[in-house]
Amino acid sequence: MTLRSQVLELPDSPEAVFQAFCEREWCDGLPIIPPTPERVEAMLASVAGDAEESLGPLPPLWREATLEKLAVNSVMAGCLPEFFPVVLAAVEAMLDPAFNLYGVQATTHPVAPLLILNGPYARTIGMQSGAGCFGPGFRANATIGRALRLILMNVGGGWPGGHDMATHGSPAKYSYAIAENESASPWASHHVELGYAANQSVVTVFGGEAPHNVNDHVSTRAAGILHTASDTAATLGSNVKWYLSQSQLLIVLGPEHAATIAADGFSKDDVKVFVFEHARLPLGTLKLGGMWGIQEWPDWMLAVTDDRALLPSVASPEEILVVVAGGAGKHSAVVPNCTFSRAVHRPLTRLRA
Amino acid sequence: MPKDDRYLDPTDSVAVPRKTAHRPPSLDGKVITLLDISKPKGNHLLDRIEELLKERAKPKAILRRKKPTFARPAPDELRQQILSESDVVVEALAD
Amino acid sequence: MSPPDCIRVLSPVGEVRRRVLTAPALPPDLRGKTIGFLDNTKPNFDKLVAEMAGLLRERFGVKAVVHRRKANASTPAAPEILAELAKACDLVLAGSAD
Repeated sequence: MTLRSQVLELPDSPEAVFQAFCEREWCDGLPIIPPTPERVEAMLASVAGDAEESLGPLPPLWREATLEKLAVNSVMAGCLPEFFPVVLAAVEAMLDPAFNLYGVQATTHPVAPLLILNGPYARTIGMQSGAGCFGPGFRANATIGRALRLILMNVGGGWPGGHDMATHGSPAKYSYAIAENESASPWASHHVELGYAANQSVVTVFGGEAPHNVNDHVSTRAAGILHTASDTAATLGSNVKWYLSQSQLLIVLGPEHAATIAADGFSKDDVKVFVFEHARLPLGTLKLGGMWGIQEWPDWMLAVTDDRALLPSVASPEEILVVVAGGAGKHSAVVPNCTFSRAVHRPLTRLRA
Repeated sequence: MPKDDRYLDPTDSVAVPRKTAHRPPSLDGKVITLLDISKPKGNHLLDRIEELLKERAKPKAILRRKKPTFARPAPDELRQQILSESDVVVEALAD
Repeated sequence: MSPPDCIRVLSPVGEVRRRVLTAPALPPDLRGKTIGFLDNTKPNFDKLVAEMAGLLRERFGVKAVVHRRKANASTPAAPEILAELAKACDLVLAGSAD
């Protein structure tokens, strides 16, 4: 295999390699696995495709996402070779124009691509879908999410304060990857809802904020839990609702909340309709700040004059994604998107049989 | 520095494991405290446990105690009280 | 071969394959020129444009100022807007107010 990347010769010690990569602004501040040619070749061997094949130019600096560069960054992140097909599918998804990666990379907003893996491959590689799935503690979640960040920094060129203009950034930018807890879900899983077969493995990327907690310890009915989730979703400071045409909400239901909701006869679509109807703020509250005056709303919303009128956070129930993940406990999470990026999914197509 | 491939365990592996309290062989004639941590519906669970204890054993007494809040450890006075008045404690962690 | 006690590692930085576009040279003088402003829609950029348009006319003899707004701050400008500015203007300033 011919590798084309520039080769560095460094003293063979973890400290020296880490130091050299930090000095060059080639890493996220955490220690790395040195990307030796042997390790990069092992990573590449796990997928179909040539090292120099590019998935496309990555913004903001439009440098090519060659399989080789994606492998170098995945090695650095600590990925096992069998994680690499997931990284590739996520990069393919992020390059879909609907994801608007340029905006995600360059904005002042603290957005990070959340990777959600569905299907049997999540179990194959040990991607955590249960207790503590947002981390820490799980190699597949931690290193796949981190590989995406290193790729966005080193291939895309999104360096904080340079081309990544995030005011604060976010802990989610280090790594943000989960699997859906399909066996604990009372409903069809996310990829089946999208039209895939249950035995297909599919990556979804969602340009979201870090999770907002939904604590409901007392509700024994669907309405109670979904009121709590809706209230968490409708906050003046989040981006959703201001650019309505691209606002999306992801509801990550803990299995106990999901079971209570389903026991009330709610389908997943019922959940979406309920949250659509209730994740609303009154016009009078929206006027207090946020992005009031520069919002992009449909005409019917701009025509509303009653300060008590409750206005939606997203354009329709279909703009609400529902997945089940996590372990025991009465918590769920709401992930508002950045409102200039839409969720995109891709099947894992590069698995080497 | 000479190459050394030995690594140190970052966990507290040398600590002596905590011992659980002595379990009495039978609950007959014992004073049992049922401690509610004050999370919702903990009382439902303890009510049922009390029923079963009365049905299946012959405790001398069953005492019900409650923490003021689940968010902090039980106050010292409550712990001392439970210690002085009971042989066995069952704590309900409802959620 | 690398010397002993050395490790060979690969650069993680991506490379550009696309042809790099070079912007045409800026006009030496703004007199009689048409200047465009691409407004990113963030608050107060319109005020900045109004102020700068006055200064450009008074001090530099600019002929006209064209002000166009993107749909919103976070998505690229529509191709029609870019085509219009390219046709009408000698120079375009992309504004990023906040």
